[in-house]
Amino acid sequence: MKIKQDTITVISVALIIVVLFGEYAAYNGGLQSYDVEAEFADGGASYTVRSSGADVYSAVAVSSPFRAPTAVYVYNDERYGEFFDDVHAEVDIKYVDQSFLADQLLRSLGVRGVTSADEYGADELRDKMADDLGSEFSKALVVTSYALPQGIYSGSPDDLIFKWLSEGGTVYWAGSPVGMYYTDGDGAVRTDGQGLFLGTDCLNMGDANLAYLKTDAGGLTDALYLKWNRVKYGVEMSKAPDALFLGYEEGGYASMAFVPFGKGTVAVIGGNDYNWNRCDDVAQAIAAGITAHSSVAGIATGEVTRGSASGEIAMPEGGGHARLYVSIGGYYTVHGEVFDGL
Amino acid sequence: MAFDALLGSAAKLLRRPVVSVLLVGIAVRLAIFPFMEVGYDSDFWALIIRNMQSGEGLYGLEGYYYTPVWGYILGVVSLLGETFLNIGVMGERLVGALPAESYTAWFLSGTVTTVPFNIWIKLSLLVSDILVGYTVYRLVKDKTGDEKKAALGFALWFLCPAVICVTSISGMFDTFSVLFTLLSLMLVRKDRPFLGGSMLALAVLTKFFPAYLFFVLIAYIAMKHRDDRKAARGIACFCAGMTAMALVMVLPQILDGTVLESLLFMTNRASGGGGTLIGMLTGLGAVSIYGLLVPASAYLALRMYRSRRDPDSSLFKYALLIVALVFIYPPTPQYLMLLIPFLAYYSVVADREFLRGWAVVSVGAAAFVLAGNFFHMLSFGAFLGPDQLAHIMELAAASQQTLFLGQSAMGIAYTLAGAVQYLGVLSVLYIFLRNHALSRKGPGLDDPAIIVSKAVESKEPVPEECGSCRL
Repeated sequence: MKIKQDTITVISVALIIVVLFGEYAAYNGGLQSYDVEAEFADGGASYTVRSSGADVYSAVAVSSPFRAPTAVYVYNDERYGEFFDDVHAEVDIKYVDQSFLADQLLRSLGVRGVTSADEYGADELRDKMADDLGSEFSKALVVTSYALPQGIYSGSPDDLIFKWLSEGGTVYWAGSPVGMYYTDGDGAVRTDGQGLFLGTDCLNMGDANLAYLKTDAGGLTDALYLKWNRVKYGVEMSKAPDALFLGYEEGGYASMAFVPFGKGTVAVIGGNDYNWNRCDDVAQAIAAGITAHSSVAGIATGEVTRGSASGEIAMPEGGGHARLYVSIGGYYTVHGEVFDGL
Repeated sequence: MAFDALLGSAAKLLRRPVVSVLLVGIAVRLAIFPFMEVGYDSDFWALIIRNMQSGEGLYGLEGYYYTPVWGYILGVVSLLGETFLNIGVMGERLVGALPAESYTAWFLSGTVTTVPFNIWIKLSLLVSDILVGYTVYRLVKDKTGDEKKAALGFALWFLCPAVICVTSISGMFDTFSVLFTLLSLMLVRKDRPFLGGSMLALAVLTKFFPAYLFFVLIAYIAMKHRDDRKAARGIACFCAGMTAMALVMVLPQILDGTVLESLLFMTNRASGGGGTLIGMLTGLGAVSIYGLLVPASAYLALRMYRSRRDPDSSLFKYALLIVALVFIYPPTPQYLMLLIPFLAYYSVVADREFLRGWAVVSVGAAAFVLAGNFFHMLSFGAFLGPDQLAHIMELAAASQQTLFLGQSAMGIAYTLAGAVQYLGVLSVLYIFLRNHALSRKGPGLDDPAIIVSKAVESKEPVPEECGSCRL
């Protein structure tokens, strides 16, 4: 009888120890460690990836005549909920809490080594973007609301957003038709300004949303482990001949399109809905420094198991600014680091 | 000689029924592990591991919607995997599987976890299944002293089709909640209330349904110590153990301000959903039922205390009744795991009629899991190659053809299986009600006299504790 009693007690105590150990692991990075070292030299980029576990990794090197975004503004629309119903009555969009989205994106960027990122309300964002003008800048703005505030965009080609874009900004627009609304003090005003952003009306305003084909993009879709396959409000590929398309496509529409705008880029993320795949993909693209002006310099993938793996990617001469992005974990990215060349 | 002795011991061991059941149960599970999974859930397990390993804890990045204990277990499982195995790829986004996402009613995903990853996660569930089986075995053996009955109790859990399907196909973790619950009951019976309370906290923070056993366990302690004035101390220890363990478990969420996120599973199941009329009604139904069950479980615990019957027999009887009542709000198969060990124990020890309930619940829940048909084989298809995956997708797509009243074959299968498993829950409650009605006319069914007469009818040995009241 004594033995039986002890068996149950021993099992219970052992389980408590296991759970406590798991708790410690869960809040200490799974007790895993990751590290990437890289440097640009002699016309190439060399890297070393380290992992305490078993992981796949990918190294993506892109070059561009313009510097890849080095800082990220995440627009947190404080009045999103106020006017959502009015917009929803006209356009098929889904309500997603803006603070939540901003928080998730900032965390996802942080995991990938993009630490110069923060969220801003309408006024702060306008001031930040205005301050950028006239300086050599390369920054990204992520918009997940259905509208930008009037101080930034009001349906006019002279708006701050277009000056900012043409001087080197990259706007990532997700969840609604780009440029369809701006907000003033009283509500959301419809402008149907997609042409101002994209040069022509080329968004998928039909019902098609799910995409079943992968867009190779010189191996970028695989190398960045992109997952988001929604094309509603995505760009019609044939109408944007200068754009770079990533991710997935259906009916001629792309899940992720990078349309050039001066020195900058308008990146349109398809889909009127949301899940973490969209957040992951936007973070991957930002970390990799993808813009409409990017060219793939080289891609390397491999596995690293409780040790390190090294490699080198040759960079084209005169290719402009280079960025190397190394991510570990594949479709479940656990760590990434960003390296900028000259 | 030593080898012969070893062989002899092994042969002797294998002749024990419980060992045969154990080996068959393990073999069946291992045989299923590589072939089937529920992609929606396994994708989440990989996502949770990703979030932990990226330094975001359980609730920083989106993906974990349960109370924290399963996440902690995944933390250990992933750490062991990273340390000793070579599962570099947890899952992949497969173009061949993307069409599954068009069947939006079923929450299918084109992100398909790999076969090695699925096996690794399910192995942890297998360990829990074995331990649950052991506790059932131990409980029956303690009560009856009968090895065969104990083995039968073990088999009713370990070979239960529903349990096998939930562990081997769904890859759901409810088995851990069941394990913690049973350990809590056993520890309280063994006069270890602090540890018992700790285990109940773990059970509730794995899946919240065992929370409804709180009052019954309190009543049990009070009953057991009715005469020796140790009840208050026992209850205080039990509550202290529960509170301390709960605090330790949610401490990281308290520190990083994600306590509300950690309660999402509970709040989601107790709130109106979807903004539709049906969503609101089902949400209100859940709120009403789960809310009413709190006073109902307290009332039943009070009844148990006042009954002045054998505390051990009463504990399992009332626990079974309360768990069955919890699932009056239609459950998914994995929730029903909590019901199975109580049915197994009570069927073997007290009333064989509950075997009918066990059978209906088992078949219904297993059928519910299997209703997902070829969609459960996407990992295996991916493992074999694109052509085989395409073939599996074709077979799965056939299940989406409209068959009857606008319903697909898969929809009809889910409806029928859901009805059967719910019938199983109702049948358990019906047996209780009928027994109660009969007991009002005469002696209670858990009365020793009734147990003896049932044993005589079925030509089975009379339980030891009833020996003194043989008819």
